[in-house]
Amino acid sequence: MALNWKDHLAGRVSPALTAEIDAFAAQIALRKQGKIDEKLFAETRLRRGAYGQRYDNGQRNDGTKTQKLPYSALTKGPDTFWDAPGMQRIKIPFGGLNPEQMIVLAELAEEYSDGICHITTRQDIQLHYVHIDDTPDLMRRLAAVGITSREACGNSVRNVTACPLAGVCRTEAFDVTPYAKALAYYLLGHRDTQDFGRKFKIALSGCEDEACALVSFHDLGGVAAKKIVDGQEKRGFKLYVGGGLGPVPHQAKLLEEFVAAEDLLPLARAMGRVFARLGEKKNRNRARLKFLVHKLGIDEFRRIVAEEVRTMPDDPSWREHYDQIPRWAEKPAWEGVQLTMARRPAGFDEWEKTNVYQQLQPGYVVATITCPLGDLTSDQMRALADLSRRYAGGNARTTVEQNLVLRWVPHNKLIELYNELAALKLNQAGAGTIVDVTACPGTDTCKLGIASSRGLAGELRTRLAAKSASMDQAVRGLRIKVSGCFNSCGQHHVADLGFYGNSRNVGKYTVPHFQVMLGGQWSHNAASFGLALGAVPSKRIPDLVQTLTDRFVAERQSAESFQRYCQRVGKKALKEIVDQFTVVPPHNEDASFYSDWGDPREFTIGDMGTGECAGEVVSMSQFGFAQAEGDAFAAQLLLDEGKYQAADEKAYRAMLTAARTLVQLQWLDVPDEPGVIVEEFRKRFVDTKIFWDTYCHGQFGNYIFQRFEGPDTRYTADTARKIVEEANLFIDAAHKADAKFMAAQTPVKV
Amino acid sequence: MDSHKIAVKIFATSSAFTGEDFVPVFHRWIQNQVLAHHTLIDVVDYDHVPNGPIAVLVANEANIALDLTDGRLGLLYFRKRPIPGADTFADRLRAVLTDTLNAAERLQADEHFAGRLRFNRGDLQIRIHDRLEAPNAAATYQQLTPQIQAVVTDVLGPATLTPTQNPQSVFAVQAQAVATRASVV
Repeated sequence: MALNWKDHLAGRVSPALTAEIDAFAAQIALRKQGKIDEKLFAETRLRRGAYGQRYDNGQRNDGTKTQKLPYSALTKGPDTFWDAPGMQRIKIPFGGLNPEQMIVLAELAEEYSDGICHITTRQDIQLHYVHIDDTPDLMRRLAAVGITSREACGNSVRNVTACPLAGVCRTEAFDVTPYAKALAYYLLGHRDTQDFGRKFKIALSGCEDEACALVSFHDLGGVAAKKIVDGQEKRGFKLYVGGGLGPVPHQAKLLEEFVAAEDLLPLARAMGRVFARLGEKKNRNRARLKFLVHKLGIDEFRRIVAEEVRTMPDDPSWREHYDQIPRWAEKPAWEGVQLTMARRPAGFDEWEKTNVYQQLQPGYVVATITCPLGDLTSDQMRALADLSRRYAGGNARTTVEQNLVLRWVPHNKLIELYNELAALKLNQAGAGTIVDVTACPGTDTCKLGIASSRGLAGELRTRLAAKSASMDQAVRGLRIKVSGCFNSCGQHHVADLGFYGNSRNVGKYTVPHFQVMLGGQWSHNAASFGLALGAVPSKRIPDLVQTLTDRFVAERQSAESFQRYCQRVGKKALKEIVDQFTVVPPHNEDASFYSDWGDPREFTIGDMGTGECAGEVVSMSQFGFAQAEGDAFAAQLLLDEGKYQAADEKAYRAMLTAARTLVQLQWLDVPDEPGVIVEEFRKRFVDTKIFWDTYCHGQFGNYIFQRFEGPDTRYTADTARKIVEEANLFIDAAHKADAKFMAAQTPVKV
Repeated sequence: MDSHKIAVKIFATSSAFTGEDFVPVFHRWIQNQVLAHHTLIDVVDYDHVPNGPIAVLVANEANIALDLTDGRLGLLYFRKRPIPGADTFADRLRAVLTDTLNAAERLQADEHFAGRLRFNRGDLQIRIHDRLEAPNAAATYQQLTPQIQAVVTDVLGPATLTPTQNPQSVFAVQAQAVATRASVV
């Protein structure tokens, strides 16, 4: 009799989950027979966490030419070949993992992937290079240990994240863990969360002041709160809505100062219904909840949600999840005893300073395992499962900083644990410090990546680790985050030093760059976002980091934070620092600038190659874009000074300048009149899809079209910040369009 | 045992290499599609991961990694997709072993290494990354050892096979070839 995982796991997977996975396996079979449309199958697999990966369109530039990868014709989505390796995203609600789950994850990485478990910036686990045919078995094996990948991707409620210290935190109002779990499983597959136009992200924090779960940039974020009602202490949440990062970040707005805990699940459901009913569905680029909240205004959004709570059909199922909450408990393996005198092994003291947190419960600590770039081998994951069982009572969590924590470790066993970690080479200090650079997958595997976020993060980690012993404490406490593109999966907006990948045209070449974002705030649940200060060639970022941190140490006043330092010094002065690093040497002087970190291929975006080299001439378009960037920066300064109308007008001017620069490539004498510029830009560059992003399509062009129709006359900090961000993105897109247009004018080198 | 998920790790004589040594070589391999019957797709740099792979060449058919687990560098060839025409376990193992040796030979001959990189044909690990078809248990060892012995002897010469000790790992045996055919690749 043939072996299969379904039979092997019989009795260990619930009938409901078995039926779901069977249905997915059937859809795979039907797709192979051509009986399911590829778009429908794509959304189906996305809702089961089966994602595409870079090059799954069957093309890859190898540094000299574009290679066609000879996959069979069957597709698993538009422009996505069936046999191309994919990524499996696995939801880990609130990051919680027991040893059995960790062992299965290790096994799956070994058997279906490249042997690496990757921890993401949303506490998920991702396995890369997975074949779609393997995904049903992978899902069954996860289901057998209580993990689902359902709705890990797609237009759904994504992983519900929570602070990894929830339940053991010294400053929390109460443990949000069971509430995060209840939300995750109540909303999973709920009929009212199936018709979204876009994803929906939820996070819960135990306290307001720490970084916690970063609720400020989530669609729905809750901060635990307590209130006295009728003489009794009640638990509840301060709720925020409409936050989001993406290309243009939005701070979440306060929905309610206090929502009683028992109202949380029905309210989340009501919000889902409102989002499904009123959210944008056609234009994906404006379909996140943040746009709906912005359009309606928070007061009207609040009113509509409250109305929905009152009028929506009854659904008592939330009670089943809510009733589980009081039963939530974690059990340590040992009694908590404080460590007293002991011989400390080499490296322990440094590790303890950065990687150990004293729990609220006396005698216990949380130990952070630093996982470089979020990666763990299968052997390491298995070993950590064993350590979790023996030291932590089986209580481990992933973190949004791409590490793993072991909770409930008795303090007097910490040295023992450290020695075991050292034997596994998992005793790196520096968690949560400047050395602990986090990054999204970027160009390693993501189709949207523009520059190598992991390559840069790896280089920064190496250089900073070498200096960490002698580093000023003020610098050591900074956070660096890197995204491969403007979509912010690396959460660069909330870093002290944030970078997102883009590119610039230099002569006939395209050079990887990173936009520099300084002064984001991680604490207070990601209270504010950094602002862009210009694009720097990828290879110069480490030197820029060195200069910025040196200047911070030298110029810092008292104990001011890096954010305060940036505000005090001012963006003009910071830009002058950044501008020192923008020069790209000619190709024949230093070709290394023309490839990215960790990738020796000559850099390219998509299939664009380099044209015939005509010498290093500064083109008219480069002058034009430089002016546009100057206008964009001036707009930021005006925003900073609270001159919102002026900032709006300057940002619009920046876009007009960039657009006119492009039009001049075809019509040199285009007049400097907004109506003419916009019309010619539309006709010559947008309608022809030269100014066009493969995945965002015409989104960036819409920024200038909308502004041309008229400004948002509310002239608030939010409206001004929005248009300033849009201007920067527009200019980046104009650079790409310029490169695309120029490459089409000259033969591609073969 | 119907699984195609066979892996062979051939150990290097020195572990003094980093990802920077292999990543550019693998990119060149992709440019020239140097491995017969393989579509080479991408290179992954895992140099930051302690005690694991340092660089992986991803092909449609297999992953080829330079792996530093337990501090011992080796080329780990892991077959992901079925092997056309290989109907028996012995056929599949022979194909994987041959492809591993070919990749190792090509790698060590690359001009970048200038003779610094050598693989030892007499020092291998044979694994099956399929816990359903080949659970890491005594029964699997009893069933498969004769076939593994036969293939290894045929390709490399007489060898001693030893099961690995960790029951949580995939099924694996160490193969130490003792005859004169066993030598550096």
